[in-house]
Amino acid sequence: MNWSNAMELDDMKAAWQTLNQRLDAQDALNLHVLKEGKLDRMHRGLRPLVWGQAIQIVFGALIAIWGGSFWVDHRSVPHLLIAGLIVHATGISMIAMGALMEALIARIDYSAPVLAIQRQLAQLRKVYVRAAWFVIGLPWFVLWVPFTMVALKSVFGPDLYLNTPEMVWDNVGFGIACFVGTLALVRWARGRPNVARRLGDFAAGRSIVRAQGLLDEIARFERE
Amino acid sequence: MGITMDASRERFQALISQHEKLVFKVANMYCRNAEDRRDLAQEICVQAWRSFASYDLARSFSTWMYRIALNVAISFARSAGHRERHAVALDEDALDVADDNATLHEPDERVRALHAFIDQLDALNRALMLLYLEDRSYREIAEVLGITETNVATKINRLKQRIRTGIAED
Repeated sequence: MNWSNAMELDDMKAAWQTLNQRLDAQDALNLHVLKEGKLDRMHRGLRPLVWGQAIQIVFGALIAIWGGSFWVDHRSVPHLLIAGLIVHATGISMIAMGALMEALIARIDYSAPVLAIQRQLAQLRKVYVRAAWFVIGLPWFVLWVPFTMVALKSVFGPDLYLNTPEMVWDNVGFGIACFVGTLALVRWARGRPNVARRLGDFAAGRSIVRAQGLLDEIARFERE
Repeated sequence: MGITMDASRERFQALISQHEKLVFKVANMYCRNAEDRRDLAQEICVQAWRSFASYDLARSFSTWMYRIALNVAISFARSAGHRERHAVALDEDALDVADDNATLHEPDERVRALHAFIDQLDALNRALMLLYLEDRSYREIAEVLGITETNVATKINRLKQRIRTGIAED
């Protein structure tokens, strides 16, 4: 696109003034509505991550209580004790991750310089995506097995491991293979934005690439 | 406690009233769509109110407000939904100007050319462009963005160069 025979940067100031004059009347009315008393309202655009973490903490607490009470009740049966401990630990890790993210979000001071905050937000996003996948997401390839064991025993009574131990081990082995395979896929896609984009949200690579892209953009802006 | 809160809110609303154009100029810089602009202006005010307790009255309100407004606007513009809508607006504007080979004299054409140029800047250079268009000093621009004054001067010169050569992005 060519502006060379049209405008200089200083000429753009005049256009900017024209533009702002047009917007004044309508926008002033909108801000008046805002000042009528909705300042304390949690606005949707700013708070989804905070609410997401709060929900995760609640679910984590329910899972931790469920797993904790299960392994206490079945501590004399090794495989049920282990399954209960895994469920309990999963709940605690969900609580810990949610609380950590809440603390990191609360520390963000939007009145700090733009580059510092944008870098902080990009790093937070990167940590969040990594943690979500590597702590909460991917382990479910394996975690569903002890969760199923605990659920079956708690709700219906049968012991899955006693009835079909080979099925339990086969699924644990398959889950570990899927876990490792997905890690390798994400690692491979990280350096290939086009591939990561095609993999979509499933691969997690896209979000990590995007977060890294923001950090690179900030670094480039500082360097230029 | 209630009286203090009310006094704080009144002081905040008075300051926002004095600087409301700042909010809309930032919103206008990052959103073409009127609904998005309203949402963003509201988010900026809500975030400013949430941060107001830490505002030091001895310091410039406009610098403080620019930081908040730009930080919120950049995050807002980067959210997936808004980026998609924004991309449509960018393409439409780009086509408008690409079709116009004549020298730009009319205000509407100048505004379209300005939009087309702004839309091709990344979020950080857009912030720099806004502060420059608003005639902020290099010192204030440096304080808002968190870079040195020398760096600001270099970047402004690069922006001028980009316009002269007709290339918005390196």
